[in-house]
Amino acid sequence: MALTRQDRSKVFLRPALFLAMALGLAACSSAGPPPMVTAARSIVGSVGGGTPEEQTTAAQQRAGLSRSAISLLNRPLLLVEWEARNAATVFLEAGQNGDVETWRSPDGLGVSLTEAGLLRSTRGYGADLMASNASASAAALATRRSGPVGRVMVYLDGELLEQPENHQCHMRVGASDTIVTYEQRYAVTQMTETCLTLSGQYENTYWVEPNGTVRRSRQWVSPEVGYFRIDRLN
Amino acid sequence: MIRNRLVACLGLGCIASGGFAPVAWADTLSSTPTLNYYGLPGLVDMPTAGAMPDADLAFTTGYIDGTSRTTLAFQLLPQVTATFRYSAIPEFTPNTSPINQDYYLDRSFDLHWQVIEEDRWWPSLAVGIRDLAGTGVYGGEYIVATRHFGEQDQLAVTAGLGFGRLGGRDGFSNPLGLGERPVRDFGSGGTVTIDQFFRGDAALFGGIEYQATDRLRLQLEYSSDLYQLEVDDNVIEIDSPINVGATYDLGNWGTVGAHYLYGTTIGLSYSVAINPRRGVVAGSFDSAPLPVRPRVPSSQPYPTDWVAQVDGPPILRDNIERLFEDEGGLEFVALDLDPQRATIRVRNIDYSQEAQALGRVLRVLSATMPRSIEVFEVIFVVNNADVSRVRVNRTDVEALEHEAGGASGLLARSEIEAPGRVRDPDAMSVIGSTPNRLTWSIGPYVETSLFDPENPFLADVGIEAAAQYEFGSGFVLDGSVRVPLFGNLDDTRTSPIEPGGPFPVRSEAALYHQESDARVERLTLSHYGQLGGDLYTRLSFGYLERMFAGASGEILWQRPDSDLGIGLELNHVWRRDFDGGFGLQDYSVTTGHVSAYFPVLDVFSGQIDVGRYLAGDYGATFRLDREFANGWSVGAFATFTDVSFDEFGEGSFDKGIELTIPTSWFFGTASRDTLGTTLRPIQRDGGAMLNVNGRLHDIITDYHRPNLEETEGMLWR
Repeated sequence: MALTRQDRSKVFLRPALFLAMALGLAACSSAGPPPMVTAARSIVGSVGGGTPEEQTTAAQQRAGLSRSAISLLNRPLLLVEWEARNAATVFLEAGQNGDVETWRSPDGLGVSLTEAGLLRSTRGYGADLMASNASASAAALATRRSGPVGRVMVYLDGELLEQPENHQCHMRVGASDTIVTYEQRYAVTQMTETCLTLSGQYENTYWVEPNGTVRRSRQWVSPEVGYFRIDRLN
Repeated sequence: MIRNRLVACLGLGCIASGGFAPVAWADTLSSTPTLNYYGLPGLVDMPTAGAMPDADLAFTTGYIDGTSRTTLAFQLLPQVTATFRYSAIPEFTPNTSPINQDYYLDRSFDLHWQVIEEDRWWPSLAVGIRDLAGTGVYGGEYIVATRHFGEQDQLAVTAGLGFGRLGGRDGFSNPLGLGERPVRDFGSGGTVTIDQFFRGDAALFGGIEYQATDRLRLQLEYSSDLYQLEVDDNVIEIDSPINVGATYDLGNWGTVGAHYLYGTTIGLSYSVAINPRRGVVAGSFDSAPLPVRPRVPSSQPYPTDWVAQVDGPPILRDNIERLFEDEGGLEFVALDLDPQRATIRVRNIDYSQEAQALGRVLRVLSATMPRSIEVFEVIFVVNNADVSRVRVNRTDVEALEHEAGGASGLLARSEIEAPGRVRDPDAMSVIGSTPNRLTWSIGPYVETSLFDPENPFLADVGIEAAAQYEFGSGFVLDGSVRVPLFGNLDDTRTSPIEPGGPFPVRSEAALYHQESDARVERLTLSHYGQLGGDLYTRLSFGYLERMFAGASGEILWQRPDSDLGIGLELNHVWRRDFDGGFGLQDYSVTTGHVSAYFPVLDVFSGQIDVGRYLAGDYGATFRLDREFANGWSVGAFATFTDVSFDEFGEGSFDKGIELTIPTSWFFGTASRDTLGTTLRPIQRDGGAMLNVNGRLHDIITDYHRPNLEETEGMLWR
């Protein structure tokens, strides 16, 4: 029986799909690959997994830095460890607006802190802390006073609409202590802020110097991102 | 949350560990009802009074003894579910002239409305109409109530009253006093037979559902559906009214179900849901933006002698373009300045949330503009034409960068107006390095034709080459060529032309597929402009779409601070040759519409077009879209013209569903690309509108206040 038009089309359908996928991966445009191609590539890439060299831990990354290197660089540095991902990155100061400093990492992540060291916002982590108002917490840190403080934390929902949340927190002054950051000793007072949200609770810890600078802290970003451990290196 | 979600939390994982104690949210029978074999909240074949989570888009496929039903259901509103279903029933001939011997292919639409939500004292109550504008094979209506018991709503008891097909078993005369049900004529379908609804005999149905574990649910039901038509054709046998079985939740991979139905047969189902309100990430993975650079405070007024600086323009241009390149996704077109005001023209290339583009431009302005500038104006340019002017004070930009509520605060203090209302500053003028814009792409394309009763899935795969050149002020040259490589679109049925019916403006698609290989899809020269006030214009000439070429003009009145708009479009087109070349056929037509754009119930965008369509018929199109801030859109449309339902033929009137999915929803990074599809049960010739690219309304409203405010969450992103 001679091949009818219908038969011919069915015979070629499967190799056609493979060819289409191959073409898809080869497609290009003046603005870069079309979206579905980028998608396909990223999916193919993620199946492969990371190379062994990429899988260093935060401890190893911390060990890669030293006080002499920090002094040599002679610029303000912030070390931010993302606990859930076990990754630590050094941030450089990118700008200052009022009393908020914006820091940026080499791969484009951003973190904004008050001059004292309270986290105001993050950028680039997906479920970022978009903005916040923690002036009561800042005042408690500056005066080293215990008491209830309220926070406003602004996130985005799945529709990219702003969702501000009111968190009821309680700041507690802890013990005096000495911490060491890359061979530098700092006399600090530990302070703990316990906060209640609608869906759970978290605890921020601050190690505050006598002049009010938060030398080290462990601060909550969002349920998806978790905690950052932030060290002011110089 | 444990949910049947197709789009999971990629990469990062959903919940970070370490010291966070979350409250457990599980899917209960009431919060996430099971979807039945009709794709609606239900038990097995019978419905329940549930509702899916708001904006859920669920895909369900069920297989019962040879019959398959595939349903797309959308929770339009928290209480209203709408579905589109495509069914294949083997060896079934309800009407006298079967089209296809092997399968009877049926398209149907349902509406399900949860009238009362369950509370302490009463059950939830829902009303539904099945097969509302289809061929009537599944036609039926119901009133149903469901009550949940147990601390986590583990047990659900449902009882209901069915009419039509659902009033089959042990039916009794109509309790609502509506009398007999008119005999259904399973003709070409498509008409909404209001005179049938809730009429005729009624019957009781009901059932019980039990949530045995987190994932396992058990269903037992008493069905009032006798499947009379199918039984008459020996498609299925009904021995008992009892259906029993279970569904198992596979989490992100969907839900599977297996049931023993009617005492005779096994049924299998699979359903999966996504929700436009939940993307891959609640935020974005875009890299951090340039921080706002505030001015150093000074007691003296800031110097303004920079205006006379001869090398000012190239310095400003280089600074701006360098920072735009760092930010990505923005293109500098022009800048006009005087000592106090700077007006920048930019193209937003990548940011699907337009407020994010605005925020990034403001950051760059704060870092590059001389200190004496107090007012920033951003004019967005689309197709090389100004679309809107956003004016903000520099001090507001400096003050609101980090504030909670800073985004809405900045927009509240901004002025958004039509670009032509105010004259640009004229002390200094800077032109970008790329005032014109050429984009091109070569890549694969897939073209599908679905739901044809003879060939439900037809597709072509090929290569498409496209280019667009924006030049001058408002001119765009745009073209695309498609070369189909493989596929079976050539098998598209050549529809029989109804006697006395409209000219085959769309139904000869088969000839377009068969008689062309490589084809010019589109080649147009357009002009976009802005008359004074809030009037925008478009003029397009050339090969406007695959089947028509000619001239198309449009004028739109759209206030920048309002959702309301009125447009007028006028086209004169000739039918193109089937071979996809530059030839034209004799048939020509003047079409046009007056369009009204308006919001509906806060979450929908409504549109009504009244005018003349391609076959020379007069009528109106009604369109309702649910649009989301992240770029998703789910909508439906229907067109009624003076082509009668009989003349229209199968389907009776033009209708369809439109989906737009932003690719940024999948990846969490900035992109203006979207995937879009129009699902039409059938494409015929009545109510056919010209398929012109680049219509004004969507382009213009992107940069008006309602959309900027909706996307403001991303302003400082």
